Amino acid sequence: MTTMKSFLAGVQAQSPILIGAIPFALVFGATASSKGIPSIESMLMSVIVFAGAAQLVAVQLMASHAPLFVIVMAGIVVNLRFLMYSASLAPHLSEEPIRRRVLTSYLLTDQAFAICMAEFTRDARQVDRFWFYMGAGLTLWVGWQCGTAAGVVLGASIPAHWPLGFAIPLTFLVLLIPVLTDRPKVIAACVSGLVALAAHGLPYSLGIVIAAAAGILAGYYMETRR
Amino acid sequence: MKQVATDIMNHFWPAVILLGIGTLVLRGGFIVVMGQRMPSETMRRLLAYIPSAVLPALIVPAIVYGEQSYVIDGQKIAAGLIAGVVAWRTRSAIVTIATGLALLGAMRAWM
Repeated sequence: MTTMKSFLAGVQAQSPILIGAIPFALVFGATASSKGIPSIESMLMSVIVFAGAAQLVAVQLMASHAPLFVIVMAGIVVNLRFLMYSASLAPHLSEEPIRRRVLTSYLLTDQAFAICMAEFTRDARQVDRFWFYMGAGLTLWVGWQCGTAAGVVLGASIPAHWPLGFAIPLTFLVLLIPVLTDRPKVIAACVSGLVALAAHGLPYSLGIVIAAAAGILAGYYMETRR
Repeated sequence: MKQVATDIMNHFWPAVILLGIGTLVLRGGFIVVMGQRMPSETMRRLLAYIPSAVLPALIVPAIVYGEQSYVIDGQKIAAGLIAGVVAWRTRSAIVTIATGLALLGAMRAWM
């Protein structure tokens, strides 16, 4: 498939899911703004970090005057899943020159990961993987920046009782459902969810990492048991 | 007011820059470094469980708990379960998220 067609295919695949990421960006923009972070700085954070869950955690810790070490560690721990995504995607992008690999790394998000893995493991059509990824990744990037800006500007106007924050787990839920294709995967998800509930109080968002590790091991064990 | 704003900005730039660099390293860890080497069979089978294990860790506590840890929020759970069914049936991000938000908004307003 041509460069342009692959790029557009990526944009098209990502667009519906973008609708879920926008409220997430809005919540970040509004939260950062309400805690006292100036507009430009909030928007720059979305460019430099480009990871919603970590951005929110970091801003909340900044607001409670946590030490620098704690803020950064919590954000890194929340983002450890990107290392795992990177491991899964690496074989599909191994042919690309290093500059392209750095660029694709920067654009890696949960949404881009989900879309690209679904596409790259399909046999049906042969997209140019780099350009498909760029289509998906850039779509999300633009959406994220616009959402953040909107959140910063509109934040104060959003009624306090609108539960916009709920869009965040919903965004992830939409990415999760298509992945639960067999029993080991469902078990992995259940174990992860339960461990995450139990470990929620742990500092530095460690509960997430522990839950994910438990889920992966549980799923792998169930698969080898068959 | 100005004092509060200054306080939160104390660590802002160091935190953002460190977090940005750290996150890029995590993202690029394998993509940039691995090059041509393929992961082993075991590695590949473990990696296959990442989405199904990582996403619930982010989703479940956010749906079950309210503002505080270990305090259960029944309305969010109900809205989340229904949204899950909607996601399963429609495979549509837009419909799922709109339904979930609308349900929770309605419950918050009228219950």
